[in-house]
Amino acid sequence: MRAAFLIFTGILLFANCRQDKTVVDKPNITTDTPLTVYNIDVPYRFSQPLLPAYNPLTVEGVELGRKLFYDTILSTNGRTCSFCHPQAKSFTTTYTDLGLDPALYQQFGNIPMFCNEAWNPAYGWIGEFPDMDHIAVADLNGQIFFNTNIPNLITKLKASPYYSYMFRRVFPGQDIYQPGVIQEKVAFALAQFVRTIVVNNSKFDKKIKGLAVLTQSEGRGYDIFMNDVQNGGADCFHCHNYPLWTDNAFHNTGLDSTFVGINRGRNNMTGLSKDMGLFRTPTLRNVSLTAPYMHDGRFKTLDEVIEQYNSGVHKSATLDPIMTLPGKEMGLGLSIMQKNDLKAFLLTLTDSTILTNPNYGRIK
Amino acid sequence: MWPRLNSDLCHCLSSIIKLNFVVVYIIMKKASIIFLIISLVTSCVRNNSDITQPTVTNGNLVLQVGYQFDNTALLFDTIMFTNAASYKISVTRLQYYLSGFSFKRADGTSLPYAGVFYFDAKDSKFGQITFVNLPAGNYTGLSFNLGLDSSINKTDNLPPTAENNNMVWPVQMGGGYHFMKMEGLFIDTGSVFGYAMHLGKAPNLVSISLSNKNFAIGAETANLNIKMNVAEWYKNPAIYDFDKDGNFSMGSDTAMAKLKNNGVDVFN
Repeated sequence: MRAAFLIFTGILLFANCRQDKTVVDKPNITTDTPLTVYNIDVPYRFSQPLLPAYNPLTVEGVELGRKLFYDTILSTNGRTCSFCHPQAKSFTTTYTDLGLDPALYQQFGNIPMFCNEAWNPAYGWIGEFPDMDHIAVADLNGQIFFNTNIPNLITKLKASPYYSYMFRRVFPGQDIYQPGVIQEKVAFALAQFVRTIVVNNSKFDKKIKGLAVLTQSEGRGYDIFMNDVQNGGADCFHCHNYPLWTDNAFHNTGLDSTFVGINRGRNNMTGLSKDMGLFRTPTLRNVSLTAPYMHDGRFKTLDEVIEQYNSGVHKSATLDPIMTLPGKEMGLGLSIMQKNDLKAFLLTLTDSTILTNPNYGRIK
Repeated sequence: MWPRLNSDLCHCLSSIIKLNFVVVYIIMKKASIIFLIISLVTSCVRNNSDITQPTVTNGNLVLQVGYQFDNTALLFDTIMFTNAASYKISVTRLQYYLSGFSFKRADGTSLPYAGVFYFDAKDSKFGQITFVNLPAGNYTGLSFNLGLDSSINKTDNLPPTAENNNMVWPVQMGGGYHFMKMEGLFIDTGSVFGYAMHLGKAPNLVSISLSNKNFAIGAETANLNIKMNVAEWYKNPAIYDFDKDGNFSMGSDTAMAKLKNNGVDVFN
């Protein structure tokens, strides 16, 4: 028995030694070390995040995603994910600022910001992406943004000691260096990182915790936001409800009366007449930092957005019932002061700490 | 010599003790086998006998809610139903809470069942309730609230699920939660308008009682189907007219009171 035990132990040790021990900058960690669970610190009144079992959050996966997010290795044109989603601009920007054709707004829509994505049940302006984990696959397979050369990407990832180690660490036992597979694994890692971007440190969040006091104008704006139209409010809360400031549902809020191209909204995905002109409610967190607005970036300022709901509502067969109060068919009819108060409140939803939060920045 | 004798004696004693252990071991082993056989035999005998099975004391009930518009199954997002005020209407959203359940037993006693249950008529994930561990026996009916009583209906009182967060009734308008959001479109003099029948605030809790809903709780999970007749919100005891009563109810205590009264009979 003793001899058998020694032989068995010897075989185990030998087998263990034959496993890859590539080490980048963590000399005590090997590719067979269990992954570390990444726990999102759920903010006050947030629901539990929606995390898919097939791509669980791990510290290592988040790090890999964060590294990839800022790395030109994914593209053949020097672009990174952060090119369109720069941290300094709340993870969004304009096509104009990127030197790209503004016509892209009509093709791809407004560039989405990354904000509390772990709580979203669907992605894209019309919910065209059922999960975050595969969104980047389209970017890697397309020619518009990255123009990725997949065989070359595989070669570069294999040649990189960091990526060679980290991909095997995060996706152990999987043959990832194949076209089709590598795109998914890159997308999985990116999704893990993006899910960790939690935005909940605005003035209003502090107010809820008793750490800040709204000004009189902000307070009046809050009341306008939270009251229905019959009570002199703007009835914003039905779609933009706390704490995400979105109901993550689809609505036609009266931007158009006829629908062409991208403005057909969710109808472009479902083909259903009931979905004509419907778009997913965007969060209002960091709304002051994320101009332009709407799915096609048609409004450059918050004032224009407020004025749209104040006087520019267009009637159509799919206009949301909430927008059809008799006497308010064209909009809210707020006074100048009320509009200013509403804007003042919207500015309290700004969390500028994410612009410089080192946890979301480039890995040095 | 003594040491030698002592050693022999010890060896002899040791052998006797070992032998005893072996004998005891064999006896124990045989006893175990015999005990096992006896157990199996008695077990088989018991299974084949007429000994009464243990009485089932508790069981589960699945309550499924369906939707209709009078005698037609509810179809969402299509203006196809005519309500009591003669408007052709559609339903685009129907979300609500049921709470305060009480089951009426055949012996006349009632069994309260605590809990708040969110329903979304468009989402099958929120289409039924499983009541667990109900006492076995026959039941003849149930009662419940559409909405939340004042002990529950407080701001941020429910767990912060996405569904609950979407049902919040702003503090500025009284706080708590929407009891119901029912929305859709209707045609009035040839034009399409929207309606939003939102119900909330303590006085508008709808108390519902259903008799002649017989079910038996036992070893098997029981099933009970009830239906919400959406048309009832608009007709009994008073006709609700969008033009006269308003197509938005949330800001009107009068409109909500009318809906509350009509809501008593919406389930059957």
